[in-house]
Amino acid sequence: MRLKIKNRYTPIFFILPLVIYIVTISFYPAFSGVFQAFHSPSTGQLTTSNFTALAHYGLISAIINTVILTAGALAIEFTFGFIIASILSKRFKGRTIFSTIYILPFGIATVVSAYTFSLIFPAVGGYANSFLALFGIHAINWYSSVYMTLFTTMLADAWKTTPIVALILLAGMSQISPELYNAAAVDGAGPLRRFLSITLPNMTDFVTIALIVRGISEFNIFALPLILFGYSPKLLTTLTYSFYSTSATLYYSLAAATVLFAFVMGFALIVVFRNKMVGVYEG
Amino acid sequence: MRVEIMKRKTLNNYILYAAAIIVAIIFIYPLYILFMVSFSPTRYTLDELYPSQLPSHLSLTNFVSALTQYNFVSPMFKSLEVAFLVGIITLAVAIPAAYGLSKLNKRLANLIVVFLFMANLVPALIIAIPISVEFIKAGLFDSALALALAQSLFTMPLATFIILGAFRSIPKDIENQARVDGMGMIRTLYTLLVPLAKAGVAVAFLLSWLTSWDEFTFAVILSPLKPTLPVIVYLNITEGSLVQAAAFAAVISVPVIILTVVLQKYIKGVYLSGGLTG
Amino acid sequence: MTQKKIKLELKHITKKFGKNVILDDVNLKIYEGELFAILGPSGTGKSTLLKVIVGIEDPDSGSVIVDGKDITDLPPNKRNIAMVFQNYALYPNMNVFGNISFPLRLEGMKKSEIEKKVNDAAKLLGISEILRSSVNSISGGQKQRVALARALVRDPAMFLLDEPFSNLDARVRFTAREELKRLRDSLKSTFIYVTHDQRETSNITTRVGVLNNGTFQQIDSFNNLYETPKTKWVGDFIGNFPMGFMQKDKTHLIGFRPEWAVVGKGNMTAKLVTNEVSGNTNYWMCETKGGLMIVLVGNKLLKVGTTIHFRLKKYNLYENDKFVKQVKSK
Repeated sequence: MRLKIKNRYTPIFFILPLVIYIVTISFYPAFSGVFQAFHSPSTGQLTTSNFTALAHYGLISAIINTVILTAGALAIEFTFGFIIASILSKRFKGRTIFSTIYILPFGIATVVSAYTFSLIFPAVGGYANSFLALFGIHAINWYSSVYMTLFTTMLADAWKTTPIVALILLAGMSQISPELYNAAAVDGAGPLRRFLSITLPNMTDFVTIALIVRGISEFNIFALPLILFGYSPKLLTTLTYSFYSTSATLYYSLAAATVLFAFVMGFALIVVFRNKMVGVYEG
Repeated sequence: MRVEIMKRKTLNNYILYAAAIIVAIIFIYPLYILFMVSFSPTRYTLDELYPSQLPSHLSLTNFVSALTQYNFVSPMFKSLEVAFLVGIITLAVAIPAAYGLSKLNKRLANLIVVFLFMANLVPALIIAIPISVEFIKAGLFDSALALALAQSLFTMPLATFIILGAFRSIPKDIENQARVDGMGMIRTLYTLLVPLAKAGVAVAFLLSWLTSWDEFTFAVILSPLKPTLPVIVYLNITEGSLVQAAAFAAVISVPVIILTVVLQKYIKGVYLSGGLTG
Repeated sequence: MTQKKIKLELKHITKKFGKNVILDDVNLKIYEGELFAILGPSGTGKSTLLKVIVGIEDPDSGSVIVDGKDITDLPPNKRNIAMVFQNYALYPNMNVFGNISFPLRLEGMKKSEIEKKVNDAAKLLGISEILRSSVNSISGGQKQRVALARALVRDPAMFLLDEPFSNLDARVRFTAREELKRLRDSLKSTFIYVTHDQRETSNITTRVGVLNNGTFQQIDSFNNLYETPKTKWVGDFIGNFPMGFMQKDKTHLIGFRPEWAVVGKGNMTAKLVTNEVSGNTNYWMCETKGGLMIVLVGNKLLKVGTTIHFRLKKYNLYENDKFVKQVKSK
């Protein structure tokens, strides 16, 4: 009898190291980080003072900027993602070469892509402006305002991250039965109509996943803004890091990270929940 | 009538190729700039306000100066050491975990995999800062092992998922046969199943290696004094040594580009979405 | 039969997967030297039963007894039972010799002894020439022999085979059955195999156990299964055509095989629904007045809808779907 019990539970012994690892390296530190963020650095008492102090250091604008950056980058990634997925979903000569080119940025280190884009979009001059000059277009200041800075960052970020979105969307497109398209073609639906009424509704799961995977990474965007423009305009991540690398206390840093964590969780919940509700309506 | 259809088909084809080529140019352009800058003397690139789009006077001077004037070797070895450690730690934990999961019923196993991917939702910063404190206490700050332990968080779910898929494709009866023949579970796993799943295991290792090689957030927080290559690039930029940064950036990117091309077959939407649709 | 030694005994074996009851109070006695087939439609727990016997699956309750010893709690390799899996489960990373010798190497047997045992087994099964081949390069029939050789080098107390013929070409399948019988005769060992195809049980077996809904419906020689099925279900399941049944009264049924009926004369009638030609013989599928389907052997093609008269040479009587007796008319 003892042997039977052992047999039934052996899978758990094999999974246990992974669970212990995740708990000690991820959950426990995250929990203790959030825990400390709610404690006073001087008295050790439960308090929200770290957060109110952060508000003086630009927490609100950091939140607004992070949300704008996330939304804008997602919009660009999904636009190009759908274009690439549509191209790759067709069969044509040279398809593998194109798909290799589209995937390449996926592996490039964020630091490298950030550095490269700092050459393309420097404060003055640069490769983008010299390219525009070929067409007689005046030089653009890529960092003239907060919004311009964020837009430049979106472009740079989308380069590295669009391949992931495109591949997930492609996986979604390729599981749609071609018969559906044939039926729609017979019904006389044009390309845009087919995209809106067949492609999109039949791959909502994949769109949701791409949104979650990318949206969360977008909130966490760190190396790219740090290298492109430093600590201003503020983002939740760079605000966290600025307190980590400069201040004597980690508590503000942890408080900023906690706000980031809350936004990530909130975002994930909204996407998952909204999708469920849509499912309920359609069901 | 037929001619009309043919015409429309070739027109569609032209549009397809035009779109494919334009997107390809946009995607290749930054890499082109990076390699052009790293292989050209600065007076034609960084020193120009409006540098030329075309390369001229290609040379290796930037690499030579980066190699000779900077301590290039130690960050390189640090990066290699951490990347291999991440690969090893990931496999050491993910292989048994995938084996255990393959023995559970499929729904429960998939649920656990999704839970693993959820662990990746926790922002690296909120993990990195508390563990940096722990590591300092434990004397692990700036050590390769500590950094590798942290970076493996990113690689563990995907590696487990890929290896689980590889194990599931092995017929169950082979393992049953091994039990009848008297082979123990651990021996079955390492002498029978792992060799049979070697493609999946290799892909998991290489993707983990690649993730670590590129990783910045944990690296800059947990190992700022003995930096890895990405951190060195960052430090060079902040110090204004843009030429050296270009050389380092090119060096980081070469193995990455090779691995991406080699692994292209395995970098799939289904993997990247973490089997959440499964 | 009764004097023979009991080799394997299953007592009240029950196995559930979640809420699904796969094996429901299975009882079975198998005697030394039998070639026993477990027959049943797919999904009735045949393979699970084999896995319980060999020890890969643990029963929720009940016991497995071999040679009078309860082995329910022993791990598979301590049971001294060999099993050949449906897809043969050859280790793809070893060659033929490596596969056959593997269980012996695990036992830590001496090299010279291993060599001898493998060669003997290979000779018996006619695979001496392919010992050094990769298992990926040999035919399905050869794979099965390799799997059998790997089973028999261990001198097991008995052999279990899961669907041994299902992966073979139709032509090899016939000879494979005879070979299995010959192997049993020369080893004088006990063989139990699982199949969903009754044609694979008719000639070579000592007895057949018909498994359905997780329990044995009848355990008997194939001839008895055909002749006197103990339930209506077994009568339907065994035979090229299901047994024909006609209502006798409220609780009684008459059951008969096509060749037990004599057509042309008689007081029984049925209406022809379709002609079915099988080889040289023509069968008439008919509908009785009560709406039941029966099969008769017919000498020629007839128009659909024709009324056929027939009488029965013998028939089985069933009460509430259970066999009562066989009745022979003059």
